[in-house]
Amino acid sequence: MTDRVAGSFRDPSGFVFRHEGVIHRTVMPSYAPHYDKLMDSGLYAKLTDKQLLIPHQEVTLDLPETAGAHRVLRPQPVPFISFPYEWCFGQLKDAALLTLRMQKLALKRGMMLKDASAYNVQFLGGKPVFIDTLSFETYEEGSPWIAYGQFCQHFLAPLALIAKVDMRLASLLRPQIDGVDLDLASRLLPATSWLNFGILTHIHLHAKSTNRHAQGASTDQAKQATVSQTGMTGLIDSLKNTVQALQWNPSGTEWADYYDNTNYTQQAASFKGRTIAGWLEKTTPKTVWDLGANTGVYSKIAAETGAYTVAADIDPAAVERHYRGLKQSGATNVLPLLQSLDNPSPSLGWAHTERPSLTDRGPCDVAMALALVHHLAISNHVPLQQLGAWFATLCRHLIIEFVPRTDSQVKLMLSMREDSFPDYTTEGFEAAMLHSFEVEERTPVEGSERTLYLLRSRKLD
Amino acid sequence: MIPFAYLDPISGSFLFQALAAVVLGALVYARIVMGKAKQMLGMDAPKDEDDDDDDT
Repeated sequence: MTDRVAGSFRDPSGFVFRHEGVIHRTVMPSYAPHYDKLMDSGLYAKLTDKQLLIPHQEVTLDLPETAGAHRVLRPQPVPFISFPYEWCFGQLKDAALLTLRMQKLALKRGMMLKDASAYNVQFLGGKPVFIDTLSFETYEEGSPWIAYGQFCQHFLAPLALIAKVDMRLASLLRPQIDGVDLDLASRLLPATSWLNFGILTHIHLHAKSTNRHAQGASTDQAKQATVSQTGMTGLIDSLKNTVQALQWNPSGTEWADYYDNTNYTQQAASFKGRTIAGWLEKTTPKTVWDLGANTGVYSKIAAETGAYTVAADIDPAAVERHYRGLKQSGATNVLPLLQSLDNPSPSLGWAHTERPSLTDRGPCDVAMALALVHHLAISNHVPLQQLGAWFATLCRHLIIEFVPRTDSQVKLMLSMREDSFPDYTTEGFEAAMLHSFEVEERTPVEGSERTLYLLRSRKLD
Repeated sequence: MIPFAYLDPISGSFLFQALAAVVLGALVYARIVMGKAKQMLGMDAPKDEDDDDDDT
């Protein structure tokens, strides 16, 4: 079965389609000279050797979709597609630096990036990798970098807003699918940012120029604008220095220090870890989603079984710490992800198809919802039955922890709000889950009042 | 207010880039000259992570 990836329509150079479940990409004749140069100049070999660009194989497929194509490529599969609005500061910064490095390496071989979209980057083997093989075009001496504005909108503006104003402004990337408008970023940044040479140049003055010429009167003038190769190098170096200097300190949020404040005893934590490891061994998952992963203590257990593990958490500081820890350890099969489970990533873009929702990127083999249910059921008032129904669409197996009313964390939660949760009992929880799951295993967590369950989805059988 | 559909997002960015590149290019040129001067004086110039890629 063959189907075109719905979000792949913007670039006339080629399109992405799935054939028998495997991603392929056509190279159309209009892009042939650029593709051939990418391959013949040694740029492709250099970028793939350095693991900066996704490698591909050229294949022969006789399909209606590939009729007239110059080449058909089968890129290395990416286990989970994530989006910039789901990344922490460090992930976005590393993706930005990758894009600049690619542009500089391309220039050395007479090519350049024709777009610098953050959506062209994915995380593979713990590192950002450029996935759009058709983003390179032949560089002509004197040409400006057509993707300069896009780079500033997709990377520099959100990074500067996080570093200089507030991490929560990263969420602007979700509604602003083409990146953060520079005039908006300029207005939101503090006055002191005008003293930062890179931000002054690439955001404030850039935004003023863009707005000043927005009526199209300068189109002819712009067509004649030239940038020398030294000027281009200066531009890229300046962007790189600006991005590198931006810092964000992941502290002071509700969840970043979670494991310092948990009520788990050593005995209970150890029992929980052993039980989860045993159940993962039993279910042999290829993909695990750890929902509410915090800094990834249990994601690590899943990753150690060999499963590709997506570690989702609502807290940007926890995700940032997790990402930094993974970079240090060199772990290759865990992807930390910013995800608010009471408002998970929706489908975005044209016809709701360009950027699929979290649910549409599943199902995974095993999801873990550890110490999570009480937050969704009590803080967010999600009925337990609905919670189970959604989880059952996400995963074939679910490892879930029920935290009873007698637990100090739940007591604290209930002390701050009216107790309108009569069904929040072990019996109520089990009855709610049974609508969507079958119980395979159940065990009380030794040294605590909590219970762990291994459930099998009825919806995905 | 200009209607959004008729905005030209590229021209201002191109014109600004051309101007910025003149200034930033001059800085690159100055850095190259400084690097060569340091080399002549026997001092080490800082290396870019991809400097060794220049096999063209």
